[in-house]
Amino acid sequence: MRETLLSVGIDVGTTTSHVVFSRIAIDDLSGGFTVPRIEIVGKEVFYYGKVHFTPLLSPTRIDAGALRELVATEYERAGIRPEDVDTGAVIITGETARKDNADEVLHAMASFAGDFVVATAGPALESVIAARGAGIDELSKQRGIRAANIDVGGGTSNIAVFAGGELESASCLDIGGRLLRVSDRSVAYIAEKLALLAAAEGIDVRVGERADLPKLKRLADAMVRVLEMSVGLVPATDSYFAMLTEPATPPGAIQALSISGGVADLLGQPLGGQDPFPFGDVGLLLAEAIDRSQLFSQVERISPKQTIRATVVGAGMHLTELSGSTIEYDPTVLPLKNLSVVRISEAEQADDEALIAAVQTKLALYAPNVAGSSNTPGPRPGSSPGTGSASMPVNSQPVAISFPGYSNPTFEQVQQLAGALIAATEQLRADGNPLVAVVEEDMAKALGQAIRASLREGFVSIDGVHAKDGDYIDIGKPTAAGVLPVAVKTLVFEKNGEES
Amino acid sequence: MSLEQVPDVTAVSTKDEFHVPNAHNEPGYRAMKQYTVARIGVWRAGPRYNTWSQLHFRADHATAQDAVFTDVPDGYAEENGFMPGQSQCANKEVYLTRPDLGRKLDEESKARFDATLTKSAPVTVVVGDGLSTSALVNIPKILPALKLGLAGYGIELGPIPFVKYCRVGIMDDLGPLIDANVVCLLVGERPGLATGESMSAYMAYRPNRERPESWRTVVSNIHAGGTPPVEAGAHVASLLKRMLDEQLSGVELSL
Amino acid sequence: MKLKTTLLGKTYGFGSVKEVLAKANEPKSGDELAGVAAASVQERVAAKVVLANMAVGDLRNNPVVPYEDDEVTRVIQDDVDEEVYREIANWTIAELREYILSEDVGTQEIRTLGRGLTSEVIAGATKLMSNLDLILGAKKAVVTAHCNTTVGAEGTFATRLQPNHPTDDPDGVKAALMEGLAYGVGDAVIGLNPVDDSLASVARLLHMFADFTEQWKIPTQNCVLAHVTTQMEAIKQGAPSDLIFQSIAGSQKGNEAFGITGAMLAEAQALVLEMGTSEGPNVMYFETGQGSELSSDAHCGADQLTMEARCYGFAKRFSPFLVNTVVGFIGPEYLYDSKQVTRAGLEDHFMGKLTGISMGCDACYTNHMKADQNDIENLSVLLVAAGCNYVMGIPHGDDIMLMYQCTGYHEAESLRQLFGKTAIPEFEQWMKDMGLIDGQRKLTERFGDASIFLERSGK
Repeated sequence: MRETLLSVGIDVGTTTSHVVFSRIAIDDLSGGFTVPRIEIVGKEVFYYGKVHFTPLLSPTRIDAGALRELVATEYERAGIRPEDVDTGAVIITGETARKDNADEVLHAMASFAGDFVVATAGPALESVIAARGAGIDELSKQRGIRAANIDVGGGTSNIAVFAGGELESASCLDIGGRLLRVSDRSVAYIAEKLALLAAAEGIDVRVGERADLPKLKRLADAMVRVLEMSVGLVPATDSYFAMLTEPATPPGAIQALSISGGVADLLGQPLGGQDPFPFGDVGLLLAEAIDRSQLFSQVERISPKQTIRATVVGAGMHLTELSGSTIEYDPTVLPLKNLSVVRISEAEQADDEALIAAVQTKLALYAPNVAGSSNTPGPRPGSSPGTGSASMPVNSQPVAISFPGYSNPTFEQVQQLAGALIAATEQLRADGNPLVAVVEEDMAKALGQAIRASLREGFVSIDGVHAKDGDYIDIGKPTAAGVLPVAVKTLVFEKNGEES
Repeated sequence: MSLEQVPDVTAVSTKDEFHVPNAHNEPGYRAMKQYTVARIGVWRAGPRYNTWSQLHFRADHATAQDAVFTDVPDGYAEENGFMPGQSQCANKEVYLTRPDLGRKLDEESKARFDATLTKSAPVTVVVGDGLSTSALVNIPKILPALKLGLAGYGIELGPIPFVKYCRVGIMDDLGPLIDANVVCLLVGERPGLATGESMSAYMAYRPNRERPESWRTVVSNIHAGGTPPVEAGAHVASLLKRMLDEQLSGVELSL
Repeated sequence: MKLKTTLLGKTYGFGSVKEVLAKANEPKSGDELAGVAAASVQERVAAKVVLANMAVGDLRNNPVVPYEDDEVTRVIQDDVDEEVYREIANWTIAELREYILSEDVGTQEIRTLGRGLTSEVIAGATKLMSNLDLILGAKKAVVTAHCNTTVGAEGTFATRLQPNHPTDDPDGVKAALMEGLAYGVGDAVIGLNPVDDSLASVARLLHMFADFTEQWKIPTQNCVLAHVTTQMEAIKQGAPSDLIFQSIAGSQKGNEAFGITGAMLAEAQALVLEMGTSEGPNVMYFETGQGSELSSDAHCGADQLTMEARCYGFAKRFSPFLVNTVVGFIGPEYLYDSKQVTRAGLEDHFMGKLTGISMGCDACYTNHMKADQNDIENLSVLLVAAGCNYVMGIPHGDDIMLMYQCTGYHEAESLRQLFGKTAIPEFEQWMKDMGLIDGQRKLTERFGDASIFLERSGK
């Protein structure tokens, strides 16, 4: 019964890029006397690629050719062909995600990497993925405490807080080791937002001036103070809110903290007499400021399972989940990538009219996306869309309809839902899209059989998966045990962020 | 005393019931409770149980006992459109102490089933009380889902027999009587604490007395808190189809 | 040998020793199911009268399953201390009963006596005993055994911590483990009944237990109660197990149904002595229960009490650290109600002790039985009064995997307090070190708080 999925993780970061391969073991834990219960039972990285510098053509463009070359080299070194890969994710992170061709590169990499390799980006998702790679979710679960991971990279710091193993919040700050660069002992570059922070703190730093160590140390301290605010150690000031990439509220007090990311590898190295700018940036100063800060004096310091590779390991091992084990689908429509999620509320799912209206309204709402404005899992606002193209009809954007379902539905409730979903997707299906139903409660097989009674084909009905408006979902091909690998990509995490 | 009600001690699930005052780490304790339905975090009165957890336990045991010791009401089969029948057990007492008699149909039921059930049907569904009368509450959910699933495979069901004081082995008695291909018995399970409504579906391809127990396929734990009956019906339909196709059941059925 | 008597004007004749034994048994639904029980209460008493007049030698020479046909019989007969036996071969079973109950007979005498008895003789004496007889007799039969710690010493009362989980989820198992330890449960053994008998799962759980007891310096034994062959394989691959467990039966056919032989158990014993993580010399753990032979059609026409006695005779060969009857687990077709369960629990404990094995009891009931938690609490009090080495401890008495109820975590300390007993000394000290009880043995605020095992290092 036991089978293994081969998973790839590719992280294209501000400074460095990485590839890892891992094996994800899945097994039926039902014991054979109940319905099957296929679950992930083990995960293991078996190949760590080298740490590569992210190739850039210009300050605003990624060198797609060179990137593809370095990924191809890693596949070769690992002895893996893209067609061997069952699942995995490519993630573009930090400042690199804001390059002009980020989205294009992301999707090109995903198609190259394997048939079901997911394309992801989004600062909050990045925070969660890095924290999982660092192992802080597991630690929080094992010890029943509130714990955070901060992934401090070249361009951004990504914060995720878990309590008892459950994600509580995720945020991202424009704080990183390469946001101020030094060349020939002079300040060569300072990122716009960092300059604003410096100004707010009364630190006058300008491009072209001599790199003044005491001044830059003060700036590093100011950056770290914002990190302290991001995990609730000191009250948040305007500086904190200014440095956020997206609005967030600071979390409550944490009990344990790990730091991952490239800067993590520089912790615990006293400056002494050495060159304070060995990488031509303030990474080492930032690390030294973290060492001196309250981040570790106030809470227990945890060694992350991964430092610079936390994000890539998180993407390769911890993004894919499995659907419920009793599901129904037409295998010919799989895999399905980057479906926008249309969320139906508990009230709407019980009422045909309301369900149909909600689906129609939300499809219309997503229409501008298709024309290319915002909110796809690939790029940040302002870049081109991840799926579809502007010339396609509005309704042709494939979607997944997500709803809570019922914990112990009646047969009539299942019939009603099937009927409403079929009616609501008439135009979508006419445009050649499948009906994709994603339900939380265990009822997808019954629902799928009810749909099959009318449609025969062109549908997927899965359960055990939660997705909300604004999320994107990827659904892979069936495993040998018949379950489907699923990746839900969430762009916004809100503590009480259940659907409206 | 007021007109207000005393709260239901079973309203809070065992995963959430928590009585430890001043716990060393309450959030951690509560989080840990989510991994098990075992009754932990229940605290104590001296060395003895906390009153509320003890009453919760008693309520759950009451559910289980009532499930076992209550008889299926007269007329249940007729009211639900099933063909009535009974094992050779005359009453609950005999049923509980003589499992051998619970595996055989009485003569009257045999004659009725022989005369009225579809012979050589691809699938025959049987309903039985088993060790939980309360489990019959799942029938109105599981049965239509099962029928719809089978219809999707082009399989129609004939009349459905109901057997009172039924043990699983009744399948081996009934199967040969009507030359059944696949028999599916929906029967109440021996209740656990608070799982009085749990039902199992036992399935076998051409069952008879000579087949070993391993010839049966079972899907257990069908109830509101386990596998929802509607979903179980859909799953069972797909298993029955495979048994017909492969002409096998039990451990030999490829998984 | 006389097989006939007259009682109240009616004559009762019996065809064999086996029939006398069966009909002399206190009422058990399993004997009725097997068709071997007395037809009336009077016939039962008549059989007891005939049994009381039989000689020890009559029972030894008429085992309920022939020597030639059955490995269990051979083990029992071959292990009899012939010197002891010769002294008592001509005693009647009535005399044997009265010897056991005599004021002049103490622990040492009972221990010697046990070496000369076959299981049929022990079963015979048991059938003549009332419940209080069984308690008093067993109380004298002190049996200790040593693995990492010593179970059964006078003044102590131990428990098995049984942290079962419906899917063996290590987090769920660990939660129940922590709770039990916080209630001072687990000095006899930390023993899980796994759902999944696979090697990987068994090894993973053994490692989890070993890591936890190592981290918290808990002086006890651990075990995952999978099939003996799975445990052996796990130990060979380095899994840390202190004991090897197996369910056993009172006939060769019954053991075959469990997939075991005496040779296999001997091999397991040798393996765990060599590669296990415990000190020994007692490294085996067995479970039994009246009715299990009938359920696999391996009772060979004998009553369930006699078959149960034979389990203990077989177990003794392997010097077990723990043996317990799972009385009341198998269902009302074997033990109908609380009265039958109580009786069987006392019988089994007495027989085990007289056989000379370290005896405990899983006092339990299923939901299709006419019994409840009060009955099981009653039985547990009687068992501790009888000097029972250990009982089970599970969260609030509710086993969420095996779907039955037995003695809960709270019973351990209640019974210790009631009888002025302590846990096994090293474990008792650990409870003090952990701050669960204070110097006066008073429960502290930490007792019953499983979260003391979270956040050891503090903030």
